[in-house]
Amino acid sequence: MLGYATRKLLISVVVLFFATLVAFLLVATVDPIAEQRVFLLSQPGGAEQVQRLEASLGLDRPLIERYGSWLGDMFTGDMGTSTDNGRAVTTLLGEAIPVTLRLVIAATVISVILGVAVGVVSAMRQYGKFDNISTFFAFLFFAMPVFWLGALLKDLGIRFNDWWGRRIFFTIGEQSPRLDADFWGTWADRAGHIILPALTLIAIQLAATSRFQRSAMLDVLESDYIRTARAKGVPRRRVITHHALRNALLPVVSYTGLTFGTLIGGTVVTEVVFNWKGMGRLFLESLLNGDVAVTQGWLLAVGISVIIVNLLTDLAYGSLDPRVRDG
Amino acid sequence: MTSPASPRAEVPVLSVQDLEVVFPTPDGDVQAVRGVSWDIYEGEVLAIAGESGSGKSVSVMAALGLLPSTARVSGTISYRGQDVTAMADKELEKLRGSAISMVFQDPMTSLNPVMTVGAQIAEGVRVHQRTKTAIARSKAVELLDLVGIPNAPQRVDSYPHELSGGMRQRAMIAMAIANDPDLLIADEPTTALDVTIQAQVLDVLERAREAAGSALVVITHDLGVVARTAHRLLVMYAGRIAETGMADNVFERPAHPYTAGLLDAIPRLDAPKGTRLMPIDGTPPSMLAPPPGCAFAPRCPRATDICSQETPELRPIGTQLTACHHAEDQYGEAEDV
Repeated sequence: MLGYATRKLLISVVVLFFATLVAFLLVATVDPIAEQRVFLLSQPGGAEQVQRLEASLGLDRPLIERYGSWLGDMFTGDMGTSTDNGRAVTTLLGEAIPVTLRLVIAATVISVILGVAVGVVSAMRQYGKFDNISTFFAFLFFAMPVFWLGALLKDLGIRFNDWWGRRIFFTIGEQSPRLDADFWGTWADRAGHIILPALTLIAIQLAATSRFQRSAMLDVLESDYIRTARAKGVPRRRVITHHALRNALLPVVSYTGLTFGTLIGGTVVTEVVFNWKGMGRLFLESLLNGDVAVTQGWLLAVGISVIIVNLLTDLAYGSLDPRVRDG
Repeated sequence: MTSPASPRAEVPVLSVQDLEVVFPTPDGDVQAVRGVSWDIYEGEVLAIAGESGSGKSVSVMAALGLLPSTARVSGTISYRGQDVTAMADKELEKLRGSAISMVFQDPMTSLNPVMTVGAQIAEGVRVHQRTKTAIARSKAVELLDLVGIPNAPQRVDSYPHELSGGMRQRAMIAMAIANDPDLLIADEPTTALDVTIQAQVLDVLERAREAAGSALVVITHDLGVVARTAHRLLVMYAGRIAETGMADNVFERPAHPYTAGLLDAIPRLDAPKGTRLMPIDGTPPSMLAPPPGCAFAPRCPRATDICSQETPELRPIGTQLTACHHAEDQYGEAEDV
């Protein structure tokens, strides 16, 4: 297992290197002063001004050299400053990441646990009432665009609050502005804010996870070693928990790792719908403002998080399946 | 031993009476087993032989309640006089793996890939004997040693993928005899293995059977396997019994043209040089709509009009029971050879 973990860690480092390259190139190959350039070049003496501007931004240097110095800065923890508000990119990320992390972790943990449970129960009574109902909702949520589901839930939340006469579901922001409460009060307030956006993400993730778990479980239940376990006289419940589930978790584990990137995409949209000041909003604003340093820093941060999640997925997979450890 | 035509007085370990198994499919009902009866007595080795789809596996799966829930089973299967088909799941679970246990065909897929073989053997012990983990584990080591796995104390912690096919099948056998069953059922135990280790595994199976003191049902399509081990032989064709009797007698003088055909299709070392193997022409019938009369008639060299009209009953011919209208001719001819 240790050798397997080390191998996966080394691969992750290599992938991280490529991630930095992509994060840099995606942004660096776009001309950040395209508009000024057109305007300045139409003015007398504009060419010199363009050159000065390029020099001040370092655009006159070759791409590889710029990548080298950018990467060096990244290593020392200097991710540059926002051209929009002059704040350090690390500070902006430091503010946005915990907010988004809250949402992503809540959505992932809940959707995986529920998805596994729904999938297993569906598989054990294939084409039963529960299976048919869960199949219907899985396809419904899977087909719904994130922003639409988010907007619907927001609307439902407001109607519910009106009907109840008290505000239960918060529909804007990640916590109440100018909140002055103790530790528990703060978390209670945050919980009220997280329910609807988390539900949005959970519904969509749960749809896919439960379908995956269901089909994995159906496959495994047909397999010879389940028959062997039953022939040994292992009670049905234990056959499901000790033999079938452990094998049927494998595809779901890889699926969860693979779709983490998609989840981040869904989070960006959800945050915008619910006005969260998280990574989604940061990314959108940096794009709209042509804020090169922020966009690059954001891409790198998300890239690293995807790599970490995939590393964790690999480790989970390895601990579940001995064949992978040795392979 | 007594002739199969006059059953013994003792209660058989397992008795199958008028078993019929039907699998409903979208294309219609597949009649996998169509009225089969057999008994197996203590310490006996019974071989059930036949082609794929002849219903040989299905009839023993039914005995353990391991058929898919869609299967329709009728007739009785009794273990020491208790009707297994009427048992609740809980009772069946107690029976499976302790009184009756099974070795499956493919050791590559029949072991759980994410559990060590030791854990899988120990689980079978613990489910039935409620022993401590450490005791179950040492029992697993003992069993692995018994089935001839070298280095058993280390191998007990191996995962199935770390063992060869032959070793895995030995582990399967160890698992099956863990609770000293009365009846061991081996479903094509050597079919998935290399020819070179088939004989070894059969030896292990025989040793394990003796160690556990159980009766053995070997299901096979390979009459070579039967010849080595079986006391009694039961030949199945298209969900029915074609012929049954003491293995030696049936081998010597088959009274059913199908049994004779199977025997002619085996390569023999004692045959004169230049003797050709005689394949049986044609293919087994579809079990969706088995032909009327004798199911073997379309492929049978002796078939006459009556064969495709009347289903032959199992009746005593010489020392065995045979379901063939022309059994006397076949039996008589076998004597001339």
